[in-house]
Amino acid sequence: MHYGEKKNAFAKCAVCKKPLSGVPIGRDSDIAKLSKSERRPERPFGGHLCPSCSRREIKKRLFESVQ
Amino acid sequence: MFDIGRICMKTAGREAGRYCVVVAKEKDKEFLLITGPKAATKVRRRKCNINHLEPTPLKIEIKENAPDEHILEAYEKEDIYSKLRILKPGEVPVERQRKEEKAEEKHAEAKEHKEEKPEHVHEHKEEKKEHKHEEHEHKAEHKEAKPKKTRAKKAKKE
Repeated sequence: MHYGEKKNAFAKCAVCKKPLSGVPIGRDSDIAKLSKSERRPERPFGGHLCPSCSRREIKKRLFESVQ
Repeated sequence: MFDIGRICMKTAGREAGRYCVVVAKEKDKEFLLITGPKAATKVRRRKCNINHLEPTPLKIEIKENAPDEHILEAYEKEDIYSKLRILKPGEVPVERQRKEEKAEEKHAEAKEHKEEKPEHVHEHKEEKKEHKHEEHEHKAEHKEAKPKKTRAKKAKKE
């Protein structure tokens, strides 16, 4: 019998579903050992939205606040 | 559009979503020198790409390469803190003030309860101490009455 290790799926953007950069892939037990700054980029919406979607969201909020 | 004194918002990087002011233009056409100032918006004085900035209709009157102190004075003159809805340096938000006040009230109530309790607790401790002293005295009396057998045995053997 050939046994293989299980693998987790990569993190995706919540809006456009593209793969996120700066987010490590691994089993939950391995990722829990990392520090908070190693799990996601240091940026608003880091680990949730991709850079292009986050810029779009920030500009949208700016236009709403100015109006 | 990106004049000196123009207030912009950063759209990229670690400081994205924060307001900043254009202080000077760099030799490269793609870069500008910006600052928050740091005391007001936590954006440091550094150069930034024009593509990472979004201008706003607000503008203040400052000279080129003005220090942060002059910029803070201009902010207060033109009441920009209320227009941008940001806190002044040193100001605490209302929600945090309420939490701190509640924590102080609880701390004061806990101190009042502690002042009332110690009389009740010390009485029990004093009674226990007296009881222990009596036991020690009782044991000491019994020890002195019994002679030590070890020395008598040694004398007989000799």
